[in-house]
Amino acid sequence: MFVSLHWLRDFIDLPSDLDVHELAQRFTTTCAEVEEVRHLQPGDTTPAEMACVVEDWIIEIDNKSITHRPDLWGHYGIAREVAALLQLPLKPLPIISPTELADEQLPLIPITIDDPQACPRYTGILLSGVRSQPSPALMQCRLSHVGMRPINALVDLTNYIMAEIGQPMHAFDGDRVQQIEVGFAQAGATFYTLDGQQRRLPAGALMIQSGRKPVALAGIMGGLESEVTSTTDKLLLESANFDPATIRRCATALGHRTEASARFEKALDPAWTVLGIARFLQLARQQFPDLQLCSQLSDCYPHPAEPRTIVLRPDYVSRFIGRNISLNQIMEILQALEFKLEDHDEGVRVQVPGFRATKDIRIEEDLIEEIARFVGYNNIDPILPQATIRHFPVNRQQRLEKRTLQLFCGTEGFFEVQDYLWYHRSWLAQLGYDPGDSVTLRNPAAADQDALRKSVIPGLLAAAQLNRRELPNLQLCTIGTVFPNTQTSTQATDLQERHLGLLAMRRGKKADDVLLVDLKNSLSKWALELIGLAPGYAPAAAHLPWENGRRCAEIRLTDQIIGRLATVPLELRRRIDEHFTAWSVVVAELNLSALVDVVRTENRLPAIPQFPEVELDFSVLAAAGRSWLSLTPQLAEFRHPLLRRLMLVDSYQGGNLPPGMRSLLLRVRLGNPRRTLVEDDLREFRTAFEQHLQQLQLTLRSVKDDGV
Amino acid sequence: MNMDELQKIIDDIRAEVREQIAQLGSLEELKQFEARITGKKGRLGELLSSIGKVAKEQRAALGGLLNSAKQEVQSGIDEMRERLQQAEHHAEQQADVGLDLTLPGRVLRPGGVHPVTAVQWEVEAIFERLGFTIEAGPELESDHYNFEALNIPAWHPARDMQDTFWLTNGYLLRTHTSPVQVRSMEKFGPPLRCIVPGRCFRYETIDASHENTFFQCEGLMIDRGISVANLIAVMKLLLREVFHRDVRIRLRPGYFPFVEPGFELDMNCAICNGSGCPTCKRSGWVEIMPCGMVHPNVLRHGGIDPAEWTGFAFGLGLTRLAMMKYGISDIRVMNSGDLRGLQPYERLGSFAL
Repeated sequence: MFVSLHWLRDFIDLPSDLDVHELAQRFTTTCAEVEEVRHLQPGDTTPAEMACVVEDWIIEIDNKSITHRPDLWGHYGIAREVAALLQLPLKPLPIISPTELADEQLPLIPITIDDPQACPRYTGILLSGVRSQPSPALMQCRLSHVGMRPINALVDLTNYIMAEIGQPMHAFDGDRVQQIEVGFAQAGATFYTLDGQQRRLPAGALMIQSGRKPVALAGIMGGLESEVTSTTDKLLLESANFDPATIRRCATALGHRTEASARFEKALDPAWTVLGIARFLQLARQQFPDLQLCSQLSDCYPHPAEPRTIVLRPDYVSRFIGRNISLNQIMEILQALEFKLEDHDEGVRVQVPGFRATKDIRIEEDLIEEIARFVGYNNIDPILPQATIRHFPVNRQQRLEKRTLQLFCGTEGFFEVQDYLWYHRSWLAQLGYDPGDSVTLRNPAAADQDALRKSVIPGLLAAAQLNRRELPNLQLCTIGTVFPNTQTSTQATDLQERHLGLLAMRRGKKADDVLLVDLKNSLSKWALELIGLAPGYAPAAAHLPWENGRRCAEIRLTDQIIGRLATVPLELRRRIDEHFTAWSVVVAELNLSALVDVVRTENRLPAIPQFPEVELDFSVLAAAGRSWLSLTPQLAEFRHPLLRRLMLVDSYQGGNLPPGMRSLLLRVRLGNPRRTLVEDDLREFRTAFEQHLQQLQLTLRSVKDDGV
Repeated sequence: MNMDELQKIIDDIRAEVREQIAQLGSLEELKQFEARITGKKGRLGELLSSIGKVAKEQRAALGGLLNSAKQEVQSGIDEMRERLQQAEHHAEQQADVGLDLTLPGRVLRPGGVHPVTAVQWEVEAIFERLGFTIEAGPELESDHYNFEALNIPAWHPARDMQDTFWLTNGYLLRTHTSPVQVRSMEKFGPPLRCIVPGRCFRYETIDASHENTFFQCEGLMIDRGISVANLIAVMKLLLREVFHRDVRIRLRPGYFPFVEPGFELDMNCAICNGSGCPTCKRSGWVEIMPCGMVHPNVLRHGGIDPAEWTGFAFGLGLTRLAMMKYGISDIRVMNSGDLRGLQPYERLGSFAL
């Protein structure tokens, strides 16, 4: 909103050498944010894009910083704050006397309000003698300085009052409109607004009607038919108060926000309806010598607002702010802002002025804000809080995610990337992936971004493609929210999972196996560190386009499937781009939410062996089709008191081995906690173990000891 | 063999040793020479092992003779070894051209977190030292936690300030991390100290300085007698720790329905140091953190009695903070996945070595 300093000087005797920039800074820190200060000199272009005639300073206030302050949408309200800030008196607004308005000789305008909640107050007056002529030069200047183009005396007057006190007004052709009903429109009806547009009225549109014929969209815009024209002699001046939500909803539904509706949305003071008319007449009289009242002030105000009072405890003010503030100081500040104070048992009873009572000031803390901002936020010395020590159990999700990133990005060499929460359908189409039912956005950022993601892999694949030229050998990771559950649920938390996505790529077509084994090792290390268990990998059928059926596994932890691991098939790499066919790519995705409550069991550390241990290597032949995963439980069946550990050292295929066979090198570690091993021990173990190998149909090729 | 013959052989060996030892040029030659003389199959060694064949009465004298000869030869060899070792050390030092310590090391597996994650961890560490717990909350959120419980009823214009992504299932994507305020109050009750880093979403057009997906870090402290002065102290401390220097700040009124009073916290523009530049719109100040005293209605929604407890809350823009700290001028880099903009060149460059 534009504020003219010239205009403010009507209400405050500002020093002639006022530093406007400094005033703007102080206004920003006590009241609302000043976006810009402009010195307008004759010849400059005004905010209404006209040539400036009168020198002025324009202070532009950020509208967003005054949404809660209906009083600041006019110059008089701004002047009140500035006066309080500079500790200068605020002059009263010139108006004509109320007694003059209440001339009982004149008729009353019949006014009916159907729903006083939607329209708490409607005030009107009939006038004659207002002619279509240009406004006085000064008024034109000021309007132009605050961004409004002068049109004619009548329109300019209503605009001037809106910019001065914040009350929008409207003038009807007094020959066509002589009675007022405020009621809701019939849904689907149409109405011509005075900008010539035909508008379909939304349900709940509040209308001003005359003889039940709509004449204006309440609080938004007047109607074309009842518009004041150059020949109008008599006019009905409306100054009303409307429910902010009703106006807001209707303006939003129509897609038509006006200066008037923007103000009504802020919850205006009902007292302003009368004030607006009294100010209008005071100004109009200066321009139109033949101005005559044709009705007395007609005011329909079914449930007048009770003044709001709040009890304020001065000791609480000091405690809440954290600085001693005297009762005197409190009183000075509040009185300058037109709050009325009287004594009360617990402190002072504060009566809130109407223009602050509609929504801004409701509770004691609201009053404290008034006091604190005029004390000056920047005059409050910082004091670190006195706090109660309390133990909060660690947030497991938070910890799991942090340690996961630390491990993968820290020691395993992954780079973290982040992606949007929704899929780009064009990318999915390129990947040949149909996510099926998804949680969808009602108002997506773009038409093809409506489905929330169920997997983080499509995003990682996009990042892989993006980076492949610069960084052909790369590992990427991401942690993010996915929405695999499309069922309706009463718990927001049930609809989302946190997933870890991993991708490793290398230029060269034959690196799949190495990448897969490396990725598996990274995962195993992660699981051991964080959860205390090594995951298992079971071959699985591919069911996603980024899974190669021959190289795809489920990742298991205890009995739970926690994720999937796969190499990316050639077909998908070709779909991404032809160059990508020359890469090997592997991906893994894990559901971290399923792991949050898996307790890490601390591994007990073994005692250092007191007697030397011995290692024996058994080289055996196995059918190539038997996976290591299937062999492990069979080998684990073998138990022997000397056996400390059994592990796989090497797996080898080809060479001079019989076709369809592979050689496995098994290493066992033997030890006795009470004595040194002797030859007989080893011989006895070998016999037993070789027998077990034979039962498993593993043909022994050779045995080697470690020479100890 | 009689004593005289033996004496003669020993003298020959001694003479040979004296003559040859000085001509040995390397430790390797010395080793071979030693084997030829004192080794098991060496000349002295063979004599020593043949001692058993000598008549008993002669053995003691013979042994003495051989031993003293061996000692003499051995000390000659040892002396020579030391000399050769020293010569070798000296030669090595002479030959060493030194190492180029400025060569880059071989980093085989670099990696790194996203800039926002790095800043997030820094902020977490600061608040952990102040006894705050680090919480998390859902990104898909209900109207209740995102708006209603934060004192933003359906008709409230503040909903315009936070243009919302709505879902067809009736939920929404949280527009701020503030819903976790009431979630945490319900989880812990007072007194409470927590921060909540997390992702937020607003229906906004994306350009160089606007994103529809960004990170915030909510902060909340509730205790007996928490004051505005406390809020200011903690905010100052936070910024000092994050920027590693004293940061000039100012507080000005800001309106957020879930705090009362509400503030906008500005910090001295880091680009122009407060003198005014395009980045700070010539004001010298940059808006960094909305904050305020928790509104009594929000405390009530969280089941906390505002007559007994007060608190402050703040919302730190982590994405913006990361941009300021790392000098990222285009916010779109953050969700791009383009590592050239997300990682320092050195970290990526070392990949090529």
